[in-house]
Amino acid sequence: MSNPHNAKFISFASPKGGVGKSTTCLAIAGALLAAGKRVRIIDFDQTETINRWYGDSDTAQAIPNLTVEKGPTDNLKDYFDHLWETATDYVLIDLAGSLSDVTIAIASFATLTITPAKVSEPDIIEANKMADKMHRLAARIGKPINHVILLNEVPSSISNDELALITQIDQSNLRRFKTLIHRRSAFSKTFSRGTLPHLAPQQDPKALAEIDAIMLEVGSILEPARQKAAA
Amino acid sequence: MNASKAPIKNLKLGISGTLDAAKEFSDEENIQSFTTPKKGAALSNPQVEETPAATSEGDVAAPGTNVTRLPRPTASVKSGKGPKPAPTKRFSVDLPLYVFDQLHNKVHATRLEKKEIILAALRDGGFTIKDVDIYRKGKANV
Ligand SMILES: Nc1ncnc2c1ncn2[C@@H]1O[C@H](COP(=O)(O)OP(=O)(O)OP(=O)(O)O)[C@@H](O)[C@H]1O
Ligand SMILES: [Mg+2]
Repeated sequence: MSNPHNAKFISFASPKGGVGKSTTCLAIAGALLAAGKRVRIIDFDQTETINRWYGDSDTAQAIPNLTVEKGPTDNLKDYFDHLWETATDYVLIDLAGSLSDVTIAIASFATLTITPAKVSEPDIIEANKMADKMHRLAARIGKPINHVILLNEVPSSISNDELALITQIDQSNLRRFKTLIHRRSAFSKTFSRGTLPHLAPQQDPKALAEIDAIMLEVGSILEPARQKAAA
Repeated sequence: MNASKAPIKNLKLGISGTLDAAKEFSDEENIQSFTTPKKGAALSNPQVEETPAATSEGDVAAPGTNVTRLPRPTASVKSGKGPKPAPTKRFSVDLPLYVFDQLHNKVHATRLEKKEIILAALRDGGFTIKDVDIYRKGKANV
């Protein structure tokens, strides 16, 4: 199933709050913008983290090729239908930290759904719940769903327990980005500074390298979808 | 090809069919509804989309919003002198991308909000709109 303008929909979803959905959404937006892409962010979280970030910051509003808007709360089916038919370029969708019918609806048509999680048991359990839902949703709609876990806020020195947890993930059928996003001030500053790691006046090369590596992985997930659509 | 377990009706679902199937899935799995107000919320109040007059960060180009139902500002809320802005209602419009780009550039050039630019243009087009409803406090009428 491909949309008319070959837009890429990337949603950021997790049943748990505070795992870094909005932060990684903005970091990825920044990388796409730095690569000359157009990015539209739709904020479906009622706390409006990203919508406020944008509305409150002249710096953010001055970023070319970026638009930020709030998602609607009713007539969602019409809205998604229309979004599917009209969207272009990259559409990043930030969701609330809960599992709702809107998360499911978006995942059903998104090109990629990313679930950030810390390397901690509660986060991984929740990410696993999400993966399980995605798996069954895929069976229901009769098409595969790209759902990938993003290990985020990894501390600079990783403990044996954390390593063991990552090994466990890799032995399961959970799909994760090979790149780890570490805890860095370049990421936490996003909200206070109104800028994005890739577009900040003072860039943190390590943060950028992580996001760039994620983007390569994202690219290889989005690419086969495009080739199939063209075939 | 092996026979697939997927029901035949799911083959080549378009966007609409996909969304319907996703909705059925959510209902069956008892996944909470984003739009169903929680118990005690003003279910029967059709004016839920009306926003308090004082919120002015509205972005007209943005699709509908869920504004937490704040009580309307009353006199006890520090009210500035002069006329108050009218209550607002959010709605969404799809602009051609090139119009949106122009709007974005204008925001950049004028430091006005999208809403201010759009309302001013509507007034130029003959709509009756008061200054207080167009411009944020402190923003000059341009
Ligand atoms: N890699 C990181 N390095 C440093 N801080 C981070 C990182 N990722 C997230 N944070 C911080 O963690 C907090 C939660 O992140 P964020 O708001 O992105 O989570 P969320 O999943 O969007 O939360 P919610 O469910 O409430 O929407 C923020 O204060 C953010 O700055
Ligand atoms: Mg968030």
